[in-house]
Amino acid sequence: MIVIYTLVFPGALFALTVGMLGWWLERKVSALVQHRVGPPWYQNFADVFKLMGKESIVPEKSTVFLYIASPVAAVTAAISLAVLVGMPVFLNTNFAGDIILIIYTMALGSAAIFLGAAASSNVYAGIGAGRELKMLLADELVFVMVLLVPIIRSGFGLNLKEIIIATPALFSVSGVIAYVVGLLAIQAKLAIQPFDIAEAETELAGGVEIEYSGVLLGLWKMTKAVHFFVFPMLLTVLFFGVPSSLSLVRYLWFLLFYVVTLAILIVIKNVNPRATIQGVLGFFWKRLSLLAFAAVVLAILGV
Amino acid sequence: MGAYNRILGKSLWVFHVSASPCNNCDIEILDLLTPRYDLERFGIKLVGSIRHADVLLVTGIGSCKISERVQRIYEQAPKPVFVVAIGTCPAAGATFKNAYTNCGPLEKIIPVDMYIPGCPPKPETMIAGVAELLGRLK
Repeated sequence: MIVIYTLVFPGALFALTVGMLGWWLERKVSALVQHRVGPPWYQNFADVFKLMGKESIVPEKSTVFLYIASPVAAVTAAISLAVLVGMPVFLNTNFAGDIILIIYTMALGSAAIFLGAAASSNVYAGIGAGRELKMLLADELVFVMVLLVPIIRSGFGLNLKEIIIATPALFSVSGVIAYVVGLLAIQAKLAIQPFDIAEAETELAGGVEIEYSGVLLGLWKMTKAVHFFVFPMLLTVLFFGVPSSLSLVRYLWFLLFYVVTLAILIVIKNVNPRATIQGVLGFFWKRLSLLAFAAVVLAILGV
Repeated sequence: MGAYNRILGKSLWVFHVSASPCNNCDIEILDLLTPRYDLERFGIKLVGSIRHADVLLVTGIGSCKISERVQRIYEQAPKPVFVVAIGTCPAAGATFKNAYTNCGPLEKIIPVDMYIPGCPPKPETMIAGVAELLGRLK
């Protein structure tokens, strides 16, 4: 059973499909905002399929083991994250672990990106790796505080299944603040504008992915696609909750608020240019962490 | 390889190689990505790293200094990779034909799959050329 969970339903196949469609939505809406037509819906599938058939080059001076292991670890971490979050949401089943496990698995993805970039012995990738680590420093604290608010609202339980069927955290002042801060933290986790400083197409030429080609690059793209599914999903179920019984209403409810969350992310992406690294650090540490802390205090006071 | 090539044709990632051009063709290439022509609807994307590229768009005469680099860039690209020469310069040298720096034409340096002549070629011509390349893939 666990094999099916991991490989088909909420795991690899399902998460990849939904994630690539979510990513396509991001590209399509961005194109429409710029008065372009935009790519067709199967674009990301074609991209990844194409990359699977290309030559995979391992640079001569790279650390070969880390260079190959990092994208594999990243895609594995992303898919396990999809299973961990997806099982309570879609199947109403529990797993042996709680929200702390989810936080660790999220950090694993960032760590893999950092290691893979550092192993590829490219100067641009090195800069990208440093930036990725700084991004992790910036958004991790804020994101954990955001996660604390629904935990407190649902009565200090760390079990994801109990949190999502409790009263939605958004029905409170602290919940609204935490959701807004959480949106920005998710933006940074997904590394889309204004927080795409680690990839930075125009100044670092792809940054962390610059040396990767073929299958290994395809694995990075798959990781990004799964992240497009998992991170908005986590935020959605934590703050909007889901109906407690397993029915079609539950899936539609989830789909509606997933698209709402994704739409807000896309709008933020399209109206902001890329921020500087010190700007991001300052923004997260001086502004957002204070807001998130205020939300946690308000949640403890029961507002 | 028929099915693979069909999908490859739907997602060509383009890398732009400036082999000592006069910049005119480069500006016209950038036009292709603007809202008016929008090549992303065919899945064509401009990438910043040679490792991600499927198509090399080469502009310029390929002067003696740059020709070595063009060759190295071609060798660094993951195969299969296609080379499209943009403008008259890579084909014939145009106005720089008799310049002492000219080490072209491009086909002496790397194998070329397609020429799109013009000084500079209009964006419509380039789209027609890319469509021709897609047709050849099928």
